[in-house]
Amino acid sequence: MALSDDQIRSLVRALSITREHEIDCSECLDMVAEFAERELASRPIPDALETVRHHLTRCGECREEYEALFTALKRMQEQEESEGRPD
Amino acid sequence: MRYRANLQHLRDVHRQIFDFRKEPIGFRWRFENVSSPHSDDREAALLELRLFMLKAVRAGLSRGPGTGDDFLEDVVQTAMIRILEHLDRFEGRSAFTTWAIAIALRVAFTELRRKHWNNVSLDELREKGAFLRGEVDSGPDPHESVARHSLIALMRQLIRTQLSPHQRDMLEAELNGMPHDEIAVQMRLTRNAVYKLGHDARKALRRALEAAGYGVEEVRTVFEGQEG
Repeated sequence: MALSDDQIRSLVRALSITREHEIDCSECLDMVAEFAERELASRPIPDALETVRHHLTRCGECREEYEALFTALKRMQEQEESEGRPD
Repeated sequence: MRYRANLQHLRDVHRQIFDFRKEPIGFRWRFENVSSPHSDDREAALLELRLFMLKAVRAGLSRGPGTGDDFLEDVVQTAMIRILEHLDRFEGRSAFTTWAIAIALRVAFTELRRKHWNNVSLDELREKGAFLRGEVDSGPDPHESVARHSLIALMRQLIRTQLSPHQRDMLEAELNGMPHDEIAVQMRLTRNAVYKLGHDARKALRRALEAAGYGVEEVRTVFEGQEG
């Protein structure tokens, strides 16, 4: 297996944040809705959801989906607020 | 502990639900009717959910390439099926619609990645990565510290000796930029199994580094101290 120095560096970085227990992508999907709502509302993230945050630092695919979810929620919230404003 | 979402539980959770925004109109109505096969309003609830999800997925994907109306319709259709199949996984900790949007976006991105990586095999990726890295051995870099050179050699040795062939293949694909969805297809695994393969590989390498007398943070410092 031939890896470049940069790839080895990326791997070492990944090792430094590796935990003994990590949730997988299905478990992340089960919890990411609650995580996104809390982040959007700037509410505290309970310990049980910190596993989601950690997974998002490790998994590029879940992070990409989370960012789209956050964007969707934010835009729809802004649209609702805009529609609620008097002319 | 997972438990089936029942209506009484949802009613209890509903009272505690986040107040960060006004709940989507019909939140409780949608979930109760979508999850009740005999509800007279089920069809209307499904239609309303579908329209809501179309709007949300469009907002989340930001009209990127390949995300036209036909694509969005297909995504929402697939997502609706998954939502109905997995209603028992909804625990009421978020709005039902947020949970549904998350599923739809997963469907969308999985398909987009599939299209992007279509016909790129692990072998081709390995060859392309080797070409870009300039695999011709030009000898040791005189500017590279001895410590860093030794650690690189150690990492390569540990990858070779501590990991299974599957784990090596998975890590190599991941480090060459292949998303887990695509690695899963190429290796005939599920996305979760790919994540677990990578997680097990990382734990094995971390343990092996520590057994060799190196803390991971120490190794990271040596690498990152050489940047720039």
